[in-house]
Amino acid sequence: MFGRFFSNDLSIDLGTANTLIYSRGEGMVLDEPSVVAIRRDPASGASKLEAFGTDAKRMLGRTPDNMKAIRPMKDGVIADFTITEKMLQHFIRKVHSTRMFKPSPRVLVCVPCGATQVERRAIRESVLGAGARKAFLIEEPMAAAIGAGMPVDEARGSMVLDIGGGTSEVAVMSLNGIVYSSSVRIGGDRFDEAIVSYIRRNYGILIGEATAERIKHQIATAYPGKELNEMEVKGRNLSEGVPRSFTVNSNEILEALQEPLYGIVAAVKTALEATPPELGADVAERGIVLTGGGALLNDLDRLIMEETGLPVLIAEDPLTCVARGGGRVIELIDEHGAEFFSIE
Amino acid sequence: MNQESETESVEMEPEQQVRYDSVGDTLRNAREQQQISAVDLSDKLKLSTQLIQALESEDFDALPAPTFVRGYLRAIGSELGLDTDALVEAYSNRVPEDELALSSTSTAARQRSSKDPLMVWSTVAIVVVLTVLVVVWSLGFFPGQDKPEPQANQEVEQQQPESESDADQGLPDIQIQLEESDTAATGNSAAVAPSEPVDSESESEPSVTADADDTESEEATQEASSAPTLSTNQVATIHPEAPVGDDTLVLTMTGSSWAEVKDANEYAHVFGTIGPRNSPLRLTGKAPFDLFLGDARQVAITYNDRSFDHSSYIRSNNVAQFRVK
Repeated sequence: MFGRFFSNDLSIDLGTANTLIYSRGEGMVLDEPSVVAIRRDPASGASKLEAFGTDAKRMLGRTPDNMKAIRPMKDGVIADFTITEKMLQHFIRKVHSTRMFKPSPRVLVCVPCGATQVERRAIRESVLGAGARKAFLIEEPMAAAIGAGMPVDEARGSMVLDIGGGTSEVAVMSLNGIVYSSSVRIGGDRFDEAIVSYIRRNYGILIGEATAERIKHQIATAYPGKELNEMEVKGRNLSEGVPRSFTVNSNEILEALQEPLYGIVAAVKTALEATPPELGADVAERGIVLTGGGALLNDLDRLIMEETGLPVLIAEDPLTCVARGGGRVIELIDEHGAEFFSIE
Repeated sequence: MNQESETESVEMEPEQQVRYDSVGDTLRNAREQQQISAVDLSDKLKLSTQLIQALESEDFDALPAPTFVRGYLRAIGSELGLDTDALVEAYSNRVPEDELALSSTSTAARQRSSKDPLMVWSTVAIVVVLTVLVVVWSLGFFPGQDKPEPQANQEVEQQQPESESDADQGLPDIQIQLEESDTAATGNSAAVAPSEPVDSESESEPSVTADADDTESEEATQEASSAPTLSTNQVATIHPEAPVGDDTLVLTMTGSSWAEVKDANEYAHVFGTIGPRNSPLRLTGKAPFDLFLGDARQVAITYNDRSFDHSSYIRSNNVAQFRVK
């Protein structure tokens, strides 16, 4: 009780692209890119953390020699332990900025279901190192399904496809447990990389990841649509070495995204094959629910619908499903105990 | 991006917001206007025809959980060119709240209640009460050190073994005699004044006298330091107006004990580490005496020249609290 007076329980969606924090009692309190900018002192060689989140993301690809903007998470897991810990510490303090005391909340972190024991341990220790009193880990698709409002407690199959920045998770759940889950290391980042390499290959022009992300947000589509959208972008011409402006359209981007998109579709098909028939029938009747930032890609539901022949629905506010679901899970832990879900 | 552009358009034209009264009628009318059969729609969206019919007839019992229904409405709405947000809102208005228990909005509402000011203030109140209790307890635990007597007219004779130089007395005898002293107006007020006993005696006639043997003063100091609650060797506080009795109580310590003694009118206190080993402490006052002893097994009590057995009062932590009468 007193712990809650000093700091709220937090649910953290520690994603490759964005870190979202849901505070129990306050709702979504933080949504920032998982980016940290580091300044290195050339004389002493010491590093100093310069900026976190949105400020640091603005520096991505625009830093001088002595600075680096890095993303400490890669493919859904921690790539740089120390920086991740510092970033979490910063974010936890940020959401407790008005408190007099050093916050030590209970923290629930969502991990990709494909994360190894070593990776889970790294995430847990990172959270504890960042000042958490207690750390719980839950599989991302479970949190996503709860956040999307799916009735995972029923004895019926519910399938969720969560497309994040680094990984895509597909899982079938029933009776508060995961029946089948798989994780592919394809997500929003792979879409960006695919756009960068497509433009370099076809136009001979190099664009940055930030530009690729902007193209993805504005004109990318996963299924051939009725209308064609165009966009003007700037990049460096590789043969001339000078910046050039050019126009890309949505069909080109669709072509560029084929490989990562079909990686995700293949994962969904594999999941459907591996799902027990009773649960598969439930999924076929009610549909697959899309969550995560990838669900915002135009017509992705259409693509999966056509490829699988099943209804596909996009969850409400898909970006925050995982963090919100985690917040709900903390409540359920208080009501029913940690063994209620498969929580570590 | 799409979300942003939608919200912008809504903000620009707030009066043109679409509202649907009935979800089922809206869907059926839109579908029939565009001459799309339920079967075509079901093929296109991979939804079963029964599901589409249930939506159009608003048979919500036949439909799955609300989160799925909202997804269906968005899919069908965008296929038929309807305002999907308005459709979902119309559905949410129709479905009773408890069916939406798992949805994000109702969860948020319930969670907000934990931030209730009542709960916050009750927590603050509990913290304050606990703090006050701790302060009261700690004051009660060190009464002799910082609790001055309420009356100004009091005399205190205090003994500092270090300040005495006459080490010629052989007996480790401590005597504190309580006597009536109306003349004592020049009280040394507090218990911890390090004034020399000689001065005190010269200022006022010794209504209270305390003589200590200083040959063992070092030992006494060590014993004092071993008792955490007490810093002085002996402290006697006597109210001059107290009716003084003639009952005598002698405490003989064989270990590093401490004692708190109150006589009948509670004006007389003896509170301190009572000095060197085997040194009897002689107290005169009015019975009954309330005693509170530390290391009680090492104390022998004589009351009006009769031995008093207090072993039955000794608690497991070797502390005894009892009354002698």
